[in-house]
Amino acid sequence: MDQPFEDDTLLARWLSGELSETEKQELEQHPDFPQWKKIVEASDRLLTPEFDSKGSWEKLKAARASQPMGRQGFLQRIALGVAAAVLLFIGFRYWPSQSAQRIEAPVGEQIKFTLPDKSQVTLHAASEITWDEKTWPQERRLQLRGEAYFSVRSGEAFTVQTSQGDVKVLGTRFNVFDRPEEGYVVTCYEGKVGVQRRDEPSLILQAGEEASLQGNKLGKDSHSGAGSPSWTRGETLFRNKPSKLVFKELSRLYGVEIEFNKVSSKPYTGPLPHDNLKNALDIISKTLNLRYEIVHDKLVRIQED
Amino acid sequence: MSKNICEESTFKQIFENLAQSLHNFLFYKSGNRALAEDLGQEAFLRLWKSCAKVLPEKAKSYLFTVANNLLLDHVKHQKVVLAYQKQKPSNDTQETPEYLYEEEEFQKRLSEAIANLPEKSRVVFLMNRLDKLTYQEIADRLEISKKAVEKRMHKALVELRKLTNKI
Repeated sequence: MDQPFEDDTLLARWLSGELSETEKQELEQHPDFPQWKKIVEASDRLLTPEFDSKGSWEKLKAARASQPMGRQGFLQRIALGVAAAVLLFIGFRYWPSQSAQRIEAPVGEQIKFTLPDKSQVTLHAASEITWDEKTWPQERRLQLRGEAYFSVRSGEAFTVQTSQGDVKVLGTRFNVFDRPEEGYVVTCYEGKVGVQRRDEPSLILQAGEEASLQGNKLGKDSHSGAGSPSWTRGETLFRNKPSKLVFKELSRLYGVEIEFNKVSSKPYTGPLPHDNLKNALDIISKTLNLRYEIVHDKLVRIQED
Repeated sequence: MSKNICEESTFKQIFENLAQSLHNFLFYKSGNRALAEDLGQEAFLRLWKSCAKVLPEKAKSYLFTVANNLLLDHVKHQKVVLAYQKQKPSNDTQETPEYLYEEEEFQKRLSEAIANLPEKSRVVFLMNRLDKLTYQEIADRLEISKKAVEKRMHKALVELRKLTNKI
């Protein structure tokens, strides 16, 4: 009686309507058949456990947001500037997968870190870098949006992809500026750098050379910068830079909005500090005959004097 | 191939397809509603953390495997208590008060019997009867053969008959 049928799937197949006619007839004659029918009927009145799908999803979303940073611990994170140390964790936004890595420097912050191959990156304000941790050992390739200075350990090809072009190097120090509305500049400080923009022939830069968009084409120039870009050393040195672009840079550096609609775009040459907005505004205003007003800590208005 | 669990829309879709089923599975096993909720969350959280490593078509077995492993740490299970729909009296002449009382009694006995089923049979029985999953769907979730599901289901019915027979 313990095992009423030879076929140990019979009752299951009866329920799913998969019995043959003979099997069915045989089962229906079983003395316990009415009770199985009763069990099945009663089980249909059982209620599915309650489940609050929406509430559970919200809870899950919150839990995901507060995930510890996990595997990205290999990154050596050094903030430049005092406040940066505190803001670092806010500035770092991690893509939570284990393979895609993403580092973002918000406005007003710079982040210096080390890639898995020990290459150094200084990420300028309002910039981000992503790479794939999984494919990195085979191919050193990352994506940049904004501006960053790289000091690459020699080895296999190292590629920086941007919206405006790719930069390929072996081991060298170089800066990439990629802000589609402002320009595309690749500056080589050491070694050799290959720059490829869309389907144009690639340009090879030597130390002291710089590639930038001239009209619609990538052109080569020399640059008189020192061993590294000025912006990695606490101030930015502008050379004949349209004031409009200087203001955009300042707004990224200080995390402020700058209104300058009525200012004619004169070029500016000179350094501007990263640590004192008032100081920076004083310098550029005096040089270009402008008047500025700090409306509040997030808004600056600039006019012709 | 283009879909990736790291993408919010894909992840959400997986959640919507499987969250309740996973939760119920955990409850059918443990009888503990709060635990089912917590471990269901934990399983999805782990899926999210591993989103780059798990293919969307493997999400289902990943979730159920993780949930199952998580349950191993909670050996002390509670009794599975299920609610049921009360019989509404109809005009059927057969439904005398005695009949309704008997039905109600049987319903209680069945719930008790389900709680006393061996765990594997209970889980399969409830996933089929309550969650309305086919044997193949249950097999996919538990990563066993359809035949194994049918055996567990058959066993559940054999046992339930014995258990409900007791006065």
